[in-house]
Amino acid sequence: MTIKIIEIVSILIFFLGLFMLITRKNILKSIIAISIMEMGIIIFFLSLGYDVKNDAPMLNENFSHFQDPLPQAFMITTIVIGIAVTAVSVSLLVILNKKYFSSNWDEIKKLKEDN
Amino acid sequence: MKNKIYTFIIILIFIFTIIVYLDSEIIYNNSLSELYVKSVSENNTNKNIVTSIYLDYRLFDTIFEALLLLISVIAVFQFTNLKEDEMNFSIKKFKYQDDNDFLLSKYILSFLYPLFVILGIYIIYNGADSPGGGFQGGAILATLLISRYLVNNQLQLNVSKPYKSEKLIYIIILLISALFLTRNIDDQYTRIYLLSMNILIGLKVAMGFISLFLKFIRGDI
Repeated sequence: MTIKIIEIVSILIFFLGLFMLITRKNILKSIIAISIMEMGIIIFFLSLGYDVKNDAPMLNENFSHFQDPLPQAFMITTIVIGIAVTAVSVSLLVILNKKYFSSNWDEIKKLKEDN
Repeated sequence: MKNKIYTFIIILIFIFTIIVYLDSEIIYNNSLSELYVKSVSENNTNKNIVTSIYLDYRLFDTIFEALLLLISVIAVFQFTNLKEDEMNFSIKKFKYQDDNDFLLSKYILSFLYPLFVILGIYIIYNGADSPGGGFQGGAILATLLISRYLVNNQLQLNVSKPYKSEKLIYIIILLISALFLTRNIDDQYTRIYLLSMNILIGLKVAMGFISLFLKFIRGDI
């Protein structure tokens, strides 16, 4: 059994993001945490077909000596979706901050119940 | 106390995941990507397999991904209720605390940012044969405006131009991909199709990022 360090690191990054998402009360930090979790997922998928000996997925004379191109094509999609999600959630945070003058989950929940 | 319990639970789940992952033998099936590699090498039009996958074999993925970015830009603009006459604004409203703090970065960026354009165009143009493509090159092109703004924050910019042109470019992308999907583009023109799609997607992504940047930099949305 070969220990794959990249996979373990990507799972670690994912759980660091999950930890940040659960323990932090600031909404901006929650958005950053979702981005970090996404980075972990991206690294995990890229490492699935990865081999140090192989080249980038470009056609050459002796093909079959390159990385798996399919996860790479999927991860381009994931990166763009991540940017879209971050932009929309930050704009929602701006609206919340404008209305309640706070960026804390608990404070906003309390203010919402009071009104 | 609550945070300590959460930390403990997350560390437990992490260790459990790692043990399960290392203990199990994952059978990685790459028959689909082998099929793609085989058809790319048979057609022999371009060298970059990733470009062939996202512009040819999985075109629907790309179309809906570009649509998602477009909708998110619309959502950001709609949530913050920007009227048409408000779209012309001076970027001056967002102020630095002290301009002198950024003198060194300003000076370095002032001769670096033209290079970003060259790099972006190079990556888009060679997307079919070397690592790169529309999305990557578009993101690099979008950094042009951000660095331009960091050099000179007195810029007068109009956000409605990139906001509208992004939608126009998306319609052109839809038309060209419809021509390709209905087999109206012959195989000998596949290279031209890949190049034009890369350029259009690059422009679309750059316009989307630029309009998002201009929207957020306004300061008082």
